[in-house]
Amino acid sequence: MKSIYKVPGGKLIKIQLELADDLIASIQIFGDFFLHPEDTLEIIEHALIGARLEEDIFTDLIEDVLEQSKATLIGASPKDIAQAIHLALNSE
Amino acid sequence: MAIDEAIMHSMEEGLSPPTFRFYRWNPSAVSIGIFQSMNDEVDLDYCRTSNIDAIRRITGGGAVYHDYEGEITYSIIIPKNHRLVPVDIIESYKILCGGIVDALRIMGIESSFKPINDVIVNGKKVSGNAQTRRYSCVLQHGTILLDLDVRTMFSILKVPPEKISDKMISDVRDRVTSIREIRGDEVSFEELRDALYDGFCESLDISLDPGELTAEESVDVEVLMETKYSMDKWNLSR
Repeated sequence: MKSIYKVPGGKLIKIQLELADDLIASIQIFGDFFLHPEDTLEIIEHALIGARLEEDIFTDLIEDVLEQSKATLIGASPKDIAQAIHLALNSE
Repeated sequence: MAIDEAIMHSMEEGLSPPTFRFYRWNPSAVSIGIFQSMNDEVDLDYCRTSNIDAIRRITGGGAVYHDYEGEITYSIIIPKNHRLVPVDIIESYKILCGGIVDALRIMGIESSFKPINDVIVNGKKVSGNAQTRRYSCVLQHGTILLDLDVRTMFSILKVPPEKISDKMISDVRDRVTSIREIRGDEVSFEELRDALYDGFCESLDISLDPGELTAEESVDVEVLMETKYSMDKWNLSR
């Protein structure tokens, strides 16, 4: 399942994911946004595995990782990534 | 890219001063942002047959075509507590991109910084920039377009050939420009380089002393080229 989401006034987010039993089984987040430190993206992807398929849950999980990693996301927000995931879920 | 990272390593050890570089890419190359998918963004078959390198940067942002005949890349590497890099990342882009704005002014071109990471002239992008903060340093590198080869750019980036229409090309020309297009003459690399040198010195209130890589940096560059920047493990990691 895939999506491409252009953040209004921001960057592009691309999602590729697979499901198992209505949970996220694997996910990759791509794009031309900025995230400091950069290795935070893998932590976000890892945190989303096993998540229930609700946009608010995605947003919360991403926000938690950003806070714990003292990370800065630029050109997209946790809500934008959550929306991109939501779009991917509706892609098939 | 390997040189930039080697300098960061060395600076973290306190062995290298704040460093500024200008360079061109020979052969021409495409670099993608650290979070982009190489296979999704770049036509690697076209790159192979056209002798164009394809590499992943350690910075975010989008894909950039580094045309040997049409582009200068700069990089600035400074300790993270340096006066030129406030904690606010957008603010630091604005400060460092001031060097490009001043360089263009020296060349008779009025431009401005457009957040997040662009410098624009008459609403069109002429320079894209990207930053990373690691190894106790800030690296900002960016591209300044001297010339624009839209057809080659589209051939490198994964745009289906049938979509490379005149309309698409004119759309890009509405959003991106180059110094030669703005000035309407054959501006030389030397003029751009000299303007960048003076623009960065004035805008950032710095002076630049010519230098070479240290022996340690040179060894590190070789290691990084062999173990990272030439490897699918890095370049195709996403």
